[in-house]
Amino acid sequence: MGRSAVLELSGVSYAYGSGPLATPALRNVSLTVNGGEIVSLVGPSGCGKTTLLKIVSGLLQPDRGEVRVNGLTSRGVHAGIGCIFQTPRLLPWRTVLSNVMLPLEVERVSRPQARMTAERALALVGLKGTGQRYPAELSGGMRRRVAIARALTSDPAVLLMDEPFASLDAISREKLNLEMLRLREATGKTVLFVTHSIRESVLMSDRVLVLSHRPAAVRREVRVDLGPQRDLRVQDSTEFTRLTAALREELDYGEDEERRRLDGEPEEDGA
Amino acid sequence: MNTAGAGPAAGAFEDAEPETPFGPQGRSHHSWERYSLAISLAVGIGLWWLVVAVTGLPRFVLPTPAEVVLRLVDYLPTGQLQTHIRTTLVEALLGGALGLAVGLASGYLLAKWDVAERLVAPYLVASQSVPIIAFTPMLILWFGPGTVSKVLICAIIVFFPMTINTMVGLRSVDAGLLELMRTYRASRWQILRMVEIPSALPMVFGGLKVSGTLSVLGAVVGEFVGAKAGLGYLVNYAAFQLDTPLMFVGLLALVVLGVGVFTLISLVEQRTLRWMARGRH
Repeated sequence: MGRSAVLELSGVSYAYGSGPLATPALRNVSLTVNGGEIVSLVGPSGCGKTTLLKIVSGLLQPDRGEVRVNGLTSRGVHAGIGCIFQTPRLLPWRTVLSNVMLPLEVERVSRPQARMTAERALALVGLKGTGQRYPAELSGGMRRRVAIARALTSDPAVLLMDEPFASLDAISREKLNLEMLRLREATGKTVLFVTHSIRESVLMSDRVLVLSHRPAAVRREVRVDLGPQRDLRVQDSTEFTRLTAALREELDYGEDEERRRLDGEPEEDGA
Repeated sequence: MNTAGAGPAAGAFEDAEPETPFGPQGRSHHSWERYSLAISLAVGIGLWWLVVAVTGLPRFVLPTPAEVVLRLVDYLPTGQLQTHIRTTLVEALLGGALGLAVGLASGYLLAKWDVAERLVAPYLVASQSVPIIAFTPMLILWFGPGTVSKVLICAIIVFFPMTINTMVGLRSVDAGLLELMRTYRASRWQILRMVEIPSALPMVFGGLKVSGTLSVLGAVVGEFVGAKAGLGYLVNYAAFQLDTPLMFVGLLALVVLGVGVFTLISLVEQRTLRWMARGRH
């Protein structure tokens, strides 16, 4: 597992709109994700996690600061990123196989080659033999797997995952969490994973970054030393409990602080 | 459109649906349903006959079905009916194709370019509020009583529904899918080909079904006002001659033409949008 930085953010700030009406979303965010690492971002809802991922992917350009993927910056979408969104975003008129081939088609990879790669990716996420079905014929969990397979086909340097399992039931969700760990073992992929579930972040990652309220900044970094090979039983360990408790406290503390800040504001205005 | 991102548990319920007796598959099990078209035609013709028999209307007001068939048998060997059908069909198809092409292009422009909508929308609405038959004498004055004026009438009639449906179809493309394509660094053309066109197709086919029959109508309207051939001309001519059975022959040919065009478009639609039937069962 390479320890060199695959993804680097330094001093990234971003605001929606401009002038006096601008809403700051990110404030001086710096973070690094090394090769083969899974790093989770947790934070209160609406704190700017999705904005941060859009900046990392290059869908949005930061107002200040810099994003480097494999040491390179870009004016547009970065090369070597793969996105997995909150919904699977499959094309309903394409079969599963044809959906997985989509990124390769855009890259103008030859059809037989694309087909082979896509079939391998489908097998990797446990969907062998479903290639000819349509997305509407699959369960929610299976659609997520298709989206993961699709992101793997172009062999991205970093996988950006934006609460990909949030709308799934608890059992499908845990299954896919383990699946991701297994995939990391198999492919050595680097992952930046956004979630609002503390359990999920600890279960899946090597490091958890806690974000503050909007405008988001990295508040704290927590290292998860549970080893690379994990199963669901890891959740019963004392280390797991200790980590989730610490993270929860960190988030609650942030919330209290936010409440104090908001409560304080009217008085400041009156003064 | 039902996108793939819809409720995760929905599939489990949909799977059970084809078994219900009210589903489309269940209905065709009744043997008489297979002959429903024949039955409905037989009843219609029977009623027609009955009206003539009861009222005793003269032949030039309302001929019996048999008289119409006899006129058809009499008329077919002259080859004129075929010529009229061909004329109307060619006008409707050429005009429809022209209206379709221009409608698709302008629908795309309107969907992609806000300024275009503000500039063009008044004309679009105006053109739609003037009945086409009021335009027709002018077009025939300018372009003569031949094919060109009819093609233009058909094109104008088809243009509006195609423009609107294309625009609405392209505007309703899932923004998430466009973002997905941007993350692949897809070109404009690739996005159009792989996402926008397939997304808009159901709406475009909706427009096509309306336009197809409208196009035949446009050709006939043109032929009524001024023409030397075509089914509209035939019906008009037969009316002047008080040859009502021939008029009915012309009308029946128009019905067959209209239904034929509609059926053809529906078949192409079914083949193209097969994915919509899958998974929804």
